[in-house]
Amino acid sequence: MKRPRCRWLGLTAWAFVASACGAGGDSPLGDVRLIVVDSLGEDLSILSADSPPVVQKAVVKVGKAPNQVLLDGAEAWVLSSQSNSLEVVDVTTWKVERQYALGDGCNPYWMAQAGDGTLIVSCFLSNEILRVDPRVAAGASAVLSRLPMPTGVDLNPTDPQKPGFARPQGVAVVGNEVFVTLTNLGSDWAPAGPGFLLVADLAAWVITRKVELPSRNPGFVYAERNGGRLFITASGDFSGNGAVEVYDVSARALSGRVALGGAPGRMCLADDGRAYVGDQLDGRVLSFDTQTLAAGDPQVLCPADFGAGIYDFVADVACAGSVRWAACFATDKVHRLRTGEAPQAFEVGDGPVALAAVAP
Amino acid sequence: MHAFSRPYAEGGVLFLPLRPILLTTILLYAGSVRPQAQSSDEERSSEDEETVEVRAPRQDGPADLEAAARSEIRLDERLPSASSLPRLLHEAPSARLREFGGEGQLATVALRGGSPAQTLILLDGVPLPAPAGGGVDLSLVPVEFIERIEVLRGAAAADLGAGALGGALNLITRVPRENFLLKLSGGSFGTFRGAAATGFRSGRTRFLLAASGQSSEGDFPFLDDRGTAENPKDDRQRLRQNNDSRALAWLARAQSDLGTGGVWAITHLGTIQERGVAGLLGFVSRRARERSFLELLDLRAHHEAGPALVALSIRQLATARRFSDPLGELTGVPVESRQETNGLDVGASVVLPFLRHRARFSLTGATLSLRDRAYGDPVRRTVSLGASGRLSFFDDALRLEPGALLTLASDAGSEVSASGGASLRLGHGWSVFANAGRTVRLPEFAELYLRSGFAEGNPDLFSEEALSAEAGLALRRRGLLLSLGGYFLHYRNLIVYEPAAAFRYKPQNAGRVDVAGAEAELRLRPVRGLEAQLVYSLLLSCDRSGRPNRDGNRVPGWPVHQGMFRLAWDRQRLLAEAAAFWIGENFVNQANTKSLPQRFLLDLSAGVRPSPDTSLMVEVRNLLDQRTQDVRGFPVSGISVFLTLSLKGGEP
Repeated sequence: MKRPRCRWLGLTAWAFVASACGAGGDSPLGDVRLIVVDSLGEDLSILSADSPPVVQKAVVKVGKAPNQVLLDGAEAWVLSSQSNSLEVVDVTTWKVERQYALGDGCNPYWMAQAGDGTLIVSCFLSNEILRVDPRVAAGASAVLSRLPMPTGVDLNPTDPQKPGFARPQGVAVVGNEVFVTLTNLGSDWAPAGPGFLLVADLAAWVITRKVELPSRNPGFVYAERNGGRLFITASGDFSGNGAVEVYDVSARALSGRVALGGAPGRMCLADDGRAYVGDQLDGRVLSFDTQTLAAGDPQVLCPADFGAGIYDFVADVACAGSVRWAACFATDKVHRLRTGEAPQAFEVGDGPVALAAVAP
Repeated sequence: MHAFSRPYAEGGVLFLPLRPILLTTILLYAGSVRPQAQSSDEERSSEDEETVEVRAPRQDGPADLEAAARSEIRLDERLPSASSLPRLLHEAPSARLREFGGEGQLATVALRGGSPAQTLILLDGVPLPAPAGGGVDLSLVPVEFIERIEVLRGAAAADLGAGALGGALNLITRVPRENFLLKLSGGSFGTFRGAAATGFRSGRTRFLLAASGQSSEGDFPFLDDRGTAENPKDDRQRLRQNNDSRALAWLARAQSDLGTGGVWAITHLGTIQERGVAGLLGFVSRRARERSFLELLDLRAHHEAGPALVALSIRQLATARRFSDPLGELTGVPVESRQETNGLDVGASVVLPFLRHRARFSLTGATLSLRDRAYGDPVRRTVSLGASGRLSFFDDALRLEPGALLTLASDAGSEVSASGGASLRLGHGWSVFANAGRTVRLPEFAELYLRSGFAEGNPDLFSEEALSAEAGLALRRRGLLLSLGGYFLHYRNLIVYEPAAAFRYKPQNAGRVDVAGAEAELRLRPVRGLEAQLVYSLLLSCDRSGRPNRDGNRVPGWPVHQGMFRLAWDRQRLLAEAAAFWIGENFVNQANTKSLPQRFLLDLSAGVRPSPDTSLMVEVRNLLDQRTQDVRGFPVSGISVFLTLSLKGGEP
């Protein structure tokens, strides 16, 4: 069905720029510098390397309510939470090459790639994690195995009469270990007790331990490139008491904490030694030094430019070289941030929720 | 749809003689020359007048509007099929029916680009509540008790009360007559329906007793794409399970002529329904259940005091809903919830004629309470003051119909709905009308108070508003009814859920939408016993929120084109009907990046009438076996077959 508004102008501009600039190097992504997952538009937008970038919206439709994108060579993997599906998009043609069902009731939230190329996917509603092979034939099941998360009194509820649900959210893989954040939410979707970092053995596919976190509502977990530490963002109870917990992988213990405030959500680790964190509460990008764990000044990015009393939030941040990107969910904009430059905003598709940045 | 009398009642002559029960439809088209309409007024039998006036004193107001786009679906003039109430609403112009799963399952309707919550649904003039939002579930109203459905589109519904942004539907129940009816039907998906009604008279009092029951296993096969529309290789045939429903309903009514110019009526209507909740594809449930209960107690009286008519009403409407999802299959959280509403309204109205004009004034006080912890057990008290008039000029060839309603709500401030219309009879069956006005919708309890999951109520909300203007042209001649109309609607301050933070949504008055449309209907009775009907609706909507990716887009869920064609035969003991429905492709999201494909539904019925009071019909629905979805994530059934036996006797 045709959209009522003309899109030919943007497409023409994009085609012109693309043809003028050629293939843009060896990367299958060519000149694409940013892939944006539009959760409400249920498609992907892309931004070029030009200055200002050329934005192309809706280059490919994906599943319902997509949540995350991961890049792997010429493929982008998109996790769609409402269709319970994984889309494999060819980034040279921008077509869905393969699409896999992850099962009814999963509500996939996050994925991380293991060393053997499989994906570990968290199922937010069905309280399990999946091991998924994104390379099987279209008619075959991509889900290799499932691992249920702990529930009920195992989650140390504040009120034993009201135990929570694991609600696994973030996933990271370091070596042979899978790390999963358990938000531990009650039936009212508020924290029912402490958050946890769950550790599973990838080979044996069993839970090996469960680390109780000082913060509530842990959302995402990110591993340093060398796999030495994990950074776990926790939004608390969305009253401005969020923090980032630091976990030492080799010591198997928490090693630090950054009281960032706000409601820290998705994060990226930049080349400048800092971590940038999207504030899910009121449109700021938070940051801290990954060595000293000293918090920097927040940067307000997502003004509420429609309606009184409406607040936007930073849905995701992405780092690539000296450039950082931040997505504002409700205003449908991504902001390009460079040190020493004023932020620049670019309109993308409806409800940008996740970013994948490509280094030049 | 517009009222047609059956051949047996009218001798096969369309519209003549005019019966009071047809009056409102006739007035709508205003095509007849003045003497016809006037004589019909004068020819009302006292018995029929009782019926109309007692049951719906408000008909002195908007229900007989001439300068309005209104339609009527008369169920007692239709072939005795197994059709449910929602399915019949496919026939109303600019009506968008949304079916979530078939027999006995959730079904809502909306008018002219609005949402189901922006359409006022009345049962005998009493607003049906939908405190949880999302509009009234029509499946709860037993079709067997409904005699006719008035569909009033646009601002002309302003007088009916707050909530009619796109328009209003008034479901009018049966009236006591000395007759009986027995209807039994059964068919696909283990569906059985039965209804019995009898009416009798004792002295000056008439009684009606009616009961109906319905049961459906509801499970139907569908093609499950498993959420991977781009991967047909993993598609599979699957059974839609936990889709059953059962319902029991009753209606008791007594009405009496006091013999002093006064009439009173008391009605008790109840319905109990239990059904499975199959859920959204991808998040289906085999255990979730829902039980609903609705009870209406309605006491009305009117008295003719000289030329004036004074009407009083006391109505109590109670609903209860119990929802159970013990395994948390639908939302990930086990749920056991119970919700009760209790509404009471007391109203008085007076109609004062002067010369050829008349004025109506009304005062209604109402209270609606909701018992649900998630909402904080809110109570809303409202007082409504209404004034409307009908000014007739040039031997009633020109009518002016102004009306206004002031609503004072304890939790939503004060609002004025107002409309003004004019109609002009041009002669030779032609007439034109135009009206304009403002309608409002008060924020629902869910929008104001609900704190559940990721939603957070906003007590600072104010009313949604719709400004509309429309004009129409009609031709009414013997055996022919043609109506053409166009309208423009500007919705503003629409309540939309905006992110207050990640995972937290809060409703805000942030939406603006323009809708322009056209409605066309043609009805023909070329020969006795044959009736043809063609309806077409064009709806162009445009988001004016100013938001990126949405401004300028179409409103999700509304196709640009909808159409219906129906051909019915009822003569020489043979019954047949063919009905085709076309629901155009429509977007499913505000970004307009995804859409549901267009749907073609073809229903065929055939039967015999061995005696004037007995009929047997076979009905095939969705003959083309279209298995697309009406609402994304909710499959609809394919082809189905039903057999209906109908017996009736006594007063028509």
